[in-house]
Amino acid sequence: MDEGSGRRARFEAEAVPLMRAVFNLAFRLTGNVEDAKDVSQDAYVRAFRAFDSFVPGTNCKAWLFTILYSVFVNRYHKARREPQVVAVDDLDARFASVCVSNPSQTAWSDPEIEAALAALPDEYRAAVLLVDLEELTYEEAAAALGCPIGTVRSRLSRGRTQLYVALHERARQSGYLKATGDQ
Amino acid sequence: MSAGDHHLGDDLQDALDGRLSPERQASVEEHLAACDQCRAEIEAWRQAKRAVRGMTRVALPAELDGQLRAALDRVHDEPARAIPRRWLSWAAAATLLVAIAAGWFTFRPRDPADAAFARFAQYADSGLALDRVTSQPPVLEQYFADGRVGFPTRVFDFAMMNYTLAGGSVSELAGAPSALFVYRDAGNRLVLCAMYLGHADAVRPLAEVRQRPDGVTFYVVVREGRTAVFWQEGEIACVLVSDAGREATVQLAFAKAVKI
Repeated sequence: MDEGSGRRARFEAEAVPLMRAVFNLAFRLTGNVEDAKDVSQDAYVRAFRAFDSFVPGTNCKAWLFTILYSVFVNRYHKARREPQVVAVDDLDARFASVCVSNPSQTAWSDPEIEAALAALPDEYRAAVLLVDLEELTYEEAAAALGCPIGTVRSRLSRGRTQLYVALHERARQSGYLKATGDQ
Repeated sequence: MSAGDHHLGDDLQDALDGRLSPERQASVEEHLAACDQCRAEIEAWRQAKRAVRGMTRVALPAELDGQLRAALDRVHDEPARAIPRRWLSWAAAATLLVAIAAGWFTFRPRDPADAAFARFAQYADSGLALDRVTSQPPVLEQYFADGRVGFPTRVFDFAMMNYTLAGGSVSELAGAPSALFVYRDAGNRLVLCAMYLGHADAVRPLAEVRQRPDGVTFYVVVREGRTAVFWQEGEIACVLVSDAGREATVQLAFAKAVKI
């Protein structure tokens, strides 16, 4: 096997199986299937070209996400319509009002969670997806997002806060949460 | 007190994500046992985290797998279809050698400085694919040596300067057959080297002239934050282009140029 096909075989073994995770992240970042396909394909081609720079034994998923996120930011981030950003002061007050020290275990449906996630600013959503869904460490997420670890921590904090507020308020609106037992 | 007053600062979230030392974690838990506010916040974050973790990943569109593999095939096949390599048969190289020896430069389409900066821009800005991707200089030297370039080349090892070889291509520079090789550092800065049959002093009118103590002459051209350093090794002109700054690029060239 020459070096070229050996490299392709290694890429197929390591990186290609992660396609679903990569596409999922692309979809959650771009918000639609067509853009997600474009971003994923672009990321995979770049990853394949750069595969010699991937250190075997390190987190291939995190490496692919780094490439994906940079493709997303360069091509789609500016063009994308920004969802409404909740003002920080308002968010903290709303968070305080929905936080309870012993909440019941709430099960939200996937569509509810997806909607709440989609409403986050891109940067918060990216941090939450990388750490909470894909279980990257703060360090891996920082590398993927191209920002300091402190920034990952604060985006995660704001993202989770906003997510919780959105989920709770949505659920309350739909009458999902009973009036008693959760205040 | 509002949710913005964090008694534990960063530690509250770090505790949720398992980033604290056992001692610090214990101390946080002690605080949480006594503090309704912090306990409420961490629990809210825990629920948000759990909600996201429990999400199902979207299904892969059926056609994407095939499309991706086809795209990878196109990348994989690129070296076999590289047009420059067909030019660089021995006959073509010999013809060009004769032409250059006879001083027939006028057929050259472009100024070598223009060409060098243009090549750098192609790699830096468009991520142009390399014919041969490897981090090992000897492997790339072998690739060039296998009759591809038509003149002896060597591939520098810049590991001491924290640049890793990314690979190389057989190409042309200002109309002459050329071996191109590219390096990256950890910050993704690029160094491009080209060796081609030509005369480095063709750029003298544009350049700052520097001399190494042993008499090797370097021609330094700076354009838009990028530096190109030319020098001659026998019949082969060499150029290094980088965005690391004038002096840093000159030092790279000084380190590797060989006096012939």
